[in-house]
Amino acid sequence: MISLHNVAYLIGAKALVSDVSFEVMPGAVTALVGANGAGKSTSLKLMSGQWTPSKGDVRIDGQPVGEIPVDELALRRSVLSQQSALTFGFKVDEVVQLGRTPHGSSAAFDAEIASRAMEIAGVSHLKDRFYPTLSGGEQQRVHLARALAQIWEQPSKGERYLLLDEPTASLDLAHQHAVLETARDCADAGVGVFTILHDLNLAAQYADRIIVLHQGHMIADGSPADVLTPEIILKAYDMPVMVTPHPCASCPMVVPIPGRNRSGEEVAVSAAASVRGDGAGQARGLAPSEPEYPLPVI
Amino acid sequence: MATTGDAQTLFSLPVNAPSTVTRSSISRRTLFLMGCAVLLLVSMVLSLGFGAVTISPIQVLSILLSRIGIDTGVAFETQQELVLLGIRLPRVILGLLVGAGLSLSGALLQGLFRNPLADPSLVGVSSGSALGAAIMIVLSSSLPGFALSALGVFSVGFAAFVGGLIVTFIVYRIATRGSMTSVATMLLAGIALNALCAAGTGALIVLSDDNQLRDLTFWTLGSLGGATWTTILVILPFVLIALIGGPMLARALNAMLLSESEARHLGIRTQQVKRFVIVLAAMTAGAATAVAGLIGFVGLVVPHLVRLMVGPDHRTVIPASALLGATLLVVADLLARVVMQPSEIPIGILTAIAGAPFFLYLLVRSKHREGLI
Repeated sequence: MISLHNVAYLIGAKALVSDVSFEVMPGAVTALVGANGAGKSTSLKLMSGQWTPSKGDVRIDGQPVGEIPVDELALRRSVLSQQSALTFGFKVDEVVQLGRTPHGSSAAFDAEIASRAMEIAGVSHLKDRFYPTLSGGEQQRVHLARALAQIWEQPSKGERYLLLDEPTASLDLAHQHAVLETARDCADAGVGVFTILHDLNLAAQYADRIIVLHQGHMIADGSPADVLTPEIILKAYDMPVMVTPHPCASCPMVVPIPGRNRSGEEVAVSAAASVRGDGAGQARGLAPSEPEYPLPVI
Repeated sequence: MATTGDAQTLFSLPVNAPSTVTRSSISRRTLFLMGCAVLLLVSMVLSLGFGAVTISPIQVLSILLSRIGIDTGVAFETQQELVLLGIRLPRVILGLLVGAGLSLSGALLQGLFRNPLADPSLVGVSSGSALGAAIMIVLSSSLPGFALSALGVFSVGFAAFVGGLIVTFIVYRIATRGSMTSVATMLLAGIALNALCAAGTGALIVLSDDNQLRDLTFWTLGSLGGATWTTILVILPFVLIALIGGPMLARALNAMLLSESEARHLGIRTQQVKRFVIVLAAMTAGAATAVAGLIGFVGLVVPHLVRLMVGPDHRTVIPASALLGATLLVVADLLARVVMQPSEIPIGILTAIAGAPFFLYLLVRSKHREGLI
């Protein structure tokens, strides 16, 4: 279990996150959602041990993350970052094998694991391509394979964790789902999966638990059905939505209300009127006819 | 996407590993390194044999064997033996060490800076060395007894070595806050300090007389002419340490190519790696410059060339750079000695003439390894 207890991270006097407490359980997918700048990536950097919290503590299997040597930590958790600065002409196969860096295993063994990881991430057909020639989405999936190869074996101590920072950011629709299905499979194999997501419907469909950050504070933590309510989403994103049951999965589905801008003001006369039944606009006391700032020209 | 739905087997280990791919790529790497080693040996034998006195490869071998008491029965003259052991052999070995040292230094720094255009001059080694050498050449005569008496012929080399290390240390300190060194700040600080050192060297050129100016100019073009067994002993420990330490950093540098934070996620102690790389690179490049003057191009181009041929894996790049850097310098020195006999061409000119066209050829040919430039 990765646990954050009353964690705060300050830069000068500005708190990027404060009073954040949650757990990432092995065998489950935990999703972190929130608006840009809400503190999602900061939380992930604190969990991965890249940054040290200013207050509170982050523990992995009960041990403060700062006290675990980096090479031991690398056997227990892998991190999929948003972008990689890799510009050197490695082949895809070699990039995935970089995931084996912390292990002292044989080259043949590493190659076999890399090829299995590439299969799972759906990049086997790219294995002899030069990494810099791939598209952004393909590169992202190569790094997923690398992250899988890194935590392939059960470590001698503790559990395994996979930390994903917006893994679906540059992917097409099919691959967004494929990547999260892989994350799901990892959780089913006992890995604690933590993922930052922007798409609430992906979070609803694949996460066991969703945590919502708003301006550095947690405003919700629970199952998708508990967390994905119009009120919480309005608070987190300043955006009115409707929540309906998913037509073919047992999870909620979030639908933005058309014809509204970010503050819930009506920007055009549209069908939106017919679905404005959730009281979102009224909840913030906004009068649709009196915008606070000039409306965008559509 | 070939997602396997079976969660139980997702992370289970494959039992037998039919890794034909790996075996062939390993042997390819070994083959490449062996090829580089053969190239170096051939270039050494050629370089030992040609010059004012010609010595055939068989004679070279038998002279060397006779020194350890094995008589091969091949005839050679005493003059050949004297030339080989007193002049050529130290010179070829010095060339080997300087070439290997400069290339290793370049390979390590290019990996650390994630920039294929990095070379030892980037962190201030070369400009600091040049300033140190200029101070010694120009000012030593005006300051009576200044250092010269104690260090003799090594005074310029010593000043160059110290100058290079001081400037590198300043660059490193500027870029380090707390316990973190910013590689980007190092790069910029290096540029600024290089300019400052160049200004200092320029000012000393204004102060110098004709002889000093000539000495200084030739020093900046590099030469292996000062090779003796003593100079070899001066540089040998530095190159040996880099030869042992460099390959140990290979996997860490591979991970660092992703980015520093990703390398940490992969379990690399990045701050330690940075410190090691900078110390190793500055010491070897500084020592090479101290014994042979400024020899440009080798540290920049050799590692680059290796990556164009076999890719960026430092496990190959580091040893291959050492071997090919040594080869390039041994061949360049051979040409420097024989092309305009009896006078000698500065070796810095030849490393550029020998290396640049080949490098350009590879550059044009290997466009498919995108992102290298």
